[in-house]
Amino acid sequence: MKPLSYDIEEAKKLFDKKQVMDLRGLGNRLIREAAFKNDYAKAELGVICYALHKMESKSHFISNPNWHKIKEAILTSLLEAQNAAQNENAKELLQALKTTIKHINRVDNELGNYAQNIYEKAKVKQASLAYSYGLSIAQASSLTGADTKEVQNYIGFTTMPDEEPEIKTIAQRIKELKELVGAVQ
Amino acid sequence: MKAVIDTGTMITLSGTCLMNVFREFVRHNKIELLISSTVAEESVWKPLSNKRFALNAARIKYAMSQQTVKVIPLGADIANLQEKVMRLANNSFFTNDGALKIIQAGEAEALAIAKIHNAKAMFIDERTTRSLIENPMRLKQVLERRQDKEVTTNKQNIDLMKSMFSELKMFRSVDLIAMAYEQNLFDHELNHTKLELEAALWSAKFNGCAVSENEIEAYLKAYRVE
Repeated sequence: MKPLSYDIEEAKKLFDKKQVMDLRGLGNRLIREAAFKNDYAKAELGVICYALHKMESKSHFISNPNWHKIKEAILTSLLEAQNAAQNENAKELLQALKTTIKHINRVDNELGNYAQNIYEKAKVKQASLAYSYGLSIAQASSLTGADTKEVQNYIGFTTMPDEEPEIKTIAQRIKELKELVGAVQ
Repeated sequence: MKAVIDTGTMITLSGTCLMNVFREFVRHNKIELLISSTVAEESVWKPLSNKRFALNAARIKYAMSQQTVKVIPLGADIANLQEKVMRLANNSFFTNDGALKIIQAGEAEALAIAKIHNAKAMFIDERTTRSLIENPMRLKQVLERRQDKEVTTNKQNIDLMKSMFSELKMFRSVDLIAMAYEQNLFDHELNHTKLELEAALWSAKFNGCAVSENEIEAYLKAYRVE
C-alpha cells in the first residue's frame, strides 16, 4: 500500500494532465485500500479523485473561462495536503483536503447542472464501492461520509445483490418465520 | 415473539410505501418489534431535515407513534454488549493489512438489543451483518472474492459470535412482504394479485434490500402466485 503523500501526488498529476480514467482508477484503488484499513483520509481522497474525474470529463466545466483558475486552486490545496501528509501533520492534512472539497463544491454550485452536487454523488458512488468489498452499508457510508439511505438506494439499483447468491431462499425464510410466530398450518 | 428491526429494513418498507402492510403484519403475527435508539436517529430524526427523505422518515415516525415499533433507549447493558459485538465482529476477518472493520455501531447495537431482549428474529436487509450471523465462512469467501486477497479468520471470535446469536433468525423486507402476501395482508394497501406482489418485491430490491432477481423469480414461480 502506497503512502498517502504518494497518492496525493498521483491525484495531482492525473488531474493536471486530464487523465480522467486514470484518476477514476486511482479513486477506486484508494477506496479499496481505505476499506481494508478503515482509513478515512484515503477514503476522502478517493472521493475527491472521483469528483475531479467527473468534473474534468464534463464540457460545461472545462469550457468555462474560469476553469483554469479553479483548477489551479484545487491543485494548490492538493499540494498543501501532500506536504501535510509528508510531514505527518494530520490537522493540516485534514484542513487541506477540506479546502479541496470546498473548491469542488463552490465550482459545482457555480457551474454545475444538477441539484445534487458532484461531491455528494461521489461520496455515494464510492461508498457503494466500499460496500462491494464486503463492508456493511453503514460502515461503507461512514467511510466516505455518505448518507446511508442514499447508499442503500444506489445499491438497490445496481446488480450487486445479484452477484452473491443468498444462503436461504425467500420460501425457506418465510417457513422459518412462520414457525417462529406460530403461523404454520 | 420479540424481533429487532434494522434501519435499512425500515427505510425499505417506508420507501416502498408498504407501511400499512407492515403494521398489519406486525399486529397479525403478534410481533413485539424493537428498534434501537441509533436506528431511530438514523431513520427518523436525521432524515426529517433532509427534503429528499423527510416523507419516508415521517412514515417511520408515525409507525413509532402507533407502537408498531418500540424504541429501545441505549442503556449501559446494551452499550457494553454493543461494544463487545463490535470488537468481536471487527476482529474476525483479517487481510495482510490488518483487521477488516465490517460493521458499525448501529448494527452492533441492534444485535445487542436482540440478545438482551431475547429476540428470536432480526429484520435486516443488508448482507454483511446477516452473513456474519448466518454463515461467517461464507462471508469470508465473499470478502476474499471481492477484495481479491486472502482473508484469514479469528475462529475464537467467530465462534463466540455464533454462540451468542445461535437462536437468532435473520429475515429481510422481501421475506416480510412475501409472507404478508401469503397471509392476505395486502388488502390494507393493495389488491391481492401477482402484479402487486411482484411489484412490491421489486420495489424492495430497488430500495436496497439484498435480494437477487433469480430469488424473486424463483419465489413467484414456486408459490404459483396468481
